[in-house]
Amino acid sequence: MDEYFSQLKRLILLFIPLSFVLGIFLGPIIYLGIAISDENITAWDYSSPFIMRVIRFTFLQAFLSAFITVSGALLVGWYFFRYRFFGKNVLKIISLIPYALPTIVVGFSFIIAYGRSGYINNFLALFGQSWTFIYNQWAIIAANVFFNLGISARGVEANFAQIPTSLWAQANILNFSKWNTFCYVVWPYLRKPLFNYFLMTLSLSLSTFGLALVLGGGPRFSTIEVAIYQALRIDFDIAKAGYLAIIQFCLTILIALPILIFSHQKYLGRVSTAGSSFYRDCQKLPLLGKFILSLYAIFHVVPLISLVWDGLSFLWVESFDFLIVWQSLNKSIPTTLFIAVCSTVITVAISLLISWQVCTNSNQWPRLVTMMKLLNDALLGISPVVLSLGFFIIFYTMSDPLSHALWVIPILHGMLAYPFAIRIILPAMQDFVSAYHKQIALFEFSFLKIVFEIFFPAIIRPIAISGMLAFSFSLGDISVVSIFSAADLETLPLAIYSLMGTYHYKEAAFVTLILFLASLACFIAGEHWLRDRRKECEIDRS
Amino acid sequence: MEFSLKFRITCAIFFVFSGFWAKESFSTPVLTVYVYSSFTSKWGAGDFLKQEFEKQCQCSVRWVSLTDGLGLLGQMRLEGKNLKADVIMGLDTTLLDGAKATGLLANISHEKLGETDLPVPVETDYFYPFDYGFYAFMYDSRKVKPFNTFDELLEKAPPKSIIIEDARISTPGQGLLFWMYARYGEKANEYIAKLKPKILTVTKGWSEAYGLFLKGEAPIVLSYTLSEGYHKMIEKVDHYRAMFFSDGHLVQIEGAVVNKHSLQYKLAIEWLKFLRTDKAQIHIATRNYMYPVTSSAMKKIPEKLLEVARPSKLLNLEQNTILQNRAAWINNWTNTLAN
Repeated sequence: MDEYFSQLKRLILLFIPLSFVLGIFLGPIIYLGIAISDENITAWDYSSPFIMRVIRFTFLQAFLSAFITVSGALLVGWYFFRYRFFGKNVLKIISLIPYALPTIVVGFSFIIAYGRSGYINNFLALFGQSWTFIYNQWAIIAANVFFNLGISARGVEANFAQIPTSLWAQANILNFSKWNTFCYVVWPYLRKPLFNYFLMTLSLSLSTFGLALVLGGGPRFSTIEVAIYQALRIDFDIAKAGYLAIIQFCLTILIALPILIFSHQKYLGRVSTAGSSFYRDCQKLPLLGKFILSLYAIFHVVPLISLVWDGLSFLWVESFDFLIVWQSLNKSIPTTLFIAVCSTVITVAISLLISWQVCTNSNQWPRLVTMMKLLNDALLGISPVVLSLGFFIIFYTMSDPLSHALWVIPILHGMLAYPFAIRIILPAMQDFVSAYHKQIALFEFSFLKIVFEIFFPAIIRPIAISGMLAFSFSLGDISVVSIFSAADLETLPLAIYSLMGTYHYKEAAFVTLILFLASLACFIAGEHWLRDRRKECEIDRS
Repeated sequence: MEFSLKFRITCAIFFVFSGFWAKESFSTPVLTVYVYSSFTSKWGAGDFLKQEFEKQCQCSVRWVSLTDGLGLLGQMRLEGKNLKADVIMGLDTTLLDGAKATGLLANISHEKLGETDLPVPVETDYFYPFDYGFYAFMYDSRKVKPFNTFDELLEKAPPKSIIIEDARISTPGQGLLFWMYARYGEKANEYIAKLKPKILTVTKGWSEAYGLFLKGEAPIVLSYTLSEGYHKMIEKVDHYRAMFFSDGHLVQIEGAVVNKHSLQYKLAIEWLKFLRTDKAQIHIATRNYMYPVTSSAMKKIPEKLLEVARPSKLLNLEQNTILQNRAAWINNWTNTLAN
């Protein structure tokens, strides 16, 4: 009987947070799905050449973006892990910044840097040359890569560090060629994370909206997300939106499923990485590395420097209005921070709760972890526009969503960051549970002691990384905020749009700079804190 | 007499909630106004209008901001009968029939709301104009010369020199589409094909398009004639100018509509009347960079705005024609630019 109640309790503890997540993610999709069967659908042609073209292009650009991102991340992550070079830490921090910026800011940073009158072209003009690659499909792909490459490269670097030292040593002793080292040492450990990064980039690129519009040059390179937005926000054609959202969702699952099967490997337990630092930062950068990292740095740093320069350059312009900037920051910074902090707490709490329940119950239900991973991959197929607009419509039938914006927005931000956060937390939780769960059960530690002295020190790094991602995602979001915010709620990205909408482009450039600096500060503080934690751990160990 | 802790907590909760309830019940009436986002920002016209109106009405104005006119119409369709807005501001005449089709608009023809001085006649049974402007291509005079007709623009503009807004999701984008149909009739699609090689990019909305123009990405952008007035008045520069076509411009008349299910109908009508006062009209003109709809306010707007020329010829499209053809025209536009 006790066993029965204990199982029931476990089920309930897993079911509650999981049903919360599923309700928020799948509710809109189910609602839109039901709408398709409605008789009052418009005479919209579901198989028109344009729509087929949009679907084809959306997946092609997402696939190419993911492929280039993963290939680049493998190279850059390797150089980050293996070699020491001047400016490495700065470059590593800067790598994470694009992820935190609103899409429109990234779009504009690309235009300021690489546009027809951008800094690169102005420089080339000195030699009578000109070059631009934006306003076509390559610009969309480049912007998607810009968003995801840095974060994936940082992830790959961390994955390299998980390869046991003994394997590197054996490869060295056996005089393995570089290719064999990659096949027998690196690939088994990186296969799974690389596919994860691929899927992550793919799903983010599938929901490209603002970037596709600004950088793509027109309807020729339009994405499904634009069509969904038009159907839901302008035409209020729920059936059309539902059809497109479900295509997007199903195709993501179709892509995710083989990836999950192919990258699946049995959990082998915790890997000892002691001594991996011996192989870390151990060599000077070779010529090829210098070339690749220079390209990477130019690609990453030039748009960001352009953004900073653009923001600062207007300060000396006579018509620059400091009062407007002050008013806009004064109102938007507290709201933005409040929403970002709440959504971070929600993301981390739900990810921890679910991953803990999944990992501690994986002995009873061995397929639970795999099922969870598939579910998380599927959730990536639901775009922010579908989630927020679908949720808005459902919520509207019960209450006024605009009156509850201050708690609805953090929940939706938290949920949108959840599939990414749980990807980071779940493997760490598996490690923790396999290493400590039985010991904890044997000794009668108090709950607080378990939480603060065992659990958090062991799992703090993935928590911090996923927290930083959730925080920065919320900081830069415009799609959810613009749907739920009434005029009295203003965030930094909304302030940028408001300024732009009233001709205040100079002031908008400065507020963009502030948003950029806020993201930068968040990541620098996070990195610094994590480094201190690592040092403390090393001291404790010694 | 001793009260138990439970009793005290229950009483405290009751008093706190009854306080909230009382505050809700006896608080001032709230007028909910849906409007496009640039209107409600601190530096838009909204803040001043809200403060001024609240002084005179013993009420509170609650703004809800949406992207643009199309966003407002989409929101009306989305909310349907449960529409929370009392007034919706910022729809233009091209969206009026779509708004009427929702069945949510109150007939305000019996209200004595005063005369307007508009460049084209407008049906005002359901629609209350508060400003207007003329769609125009703005150009950077340091880089290109102006064109005198639409035909000339289509023939002589350099390749990839024009930035326009997306007709599928933005009001100015649809404005250009209607302008071309008003100018070229059924042949408009051929002319859209002619425009295609001249387009550098198509943006989500006016803000993005104008931002790219100011960054120098292209020398021509679709905007309004009074954009020129902004640069002259605020930035004191005169190289950003509007092109005036002798073959006609399309006028955009923005207006407010009242939700027929509104519980604050009287307040909504008061608000409409307030919008036509000189101080409100002048404020809208100088913050929204659009023309006032009353002749008395027109005389009082800043000279720099009056200095901007007005189109010599105006084009017009029947609202019914727009309603019947909107979807097909947008499809044509999309297919032409996509192929």
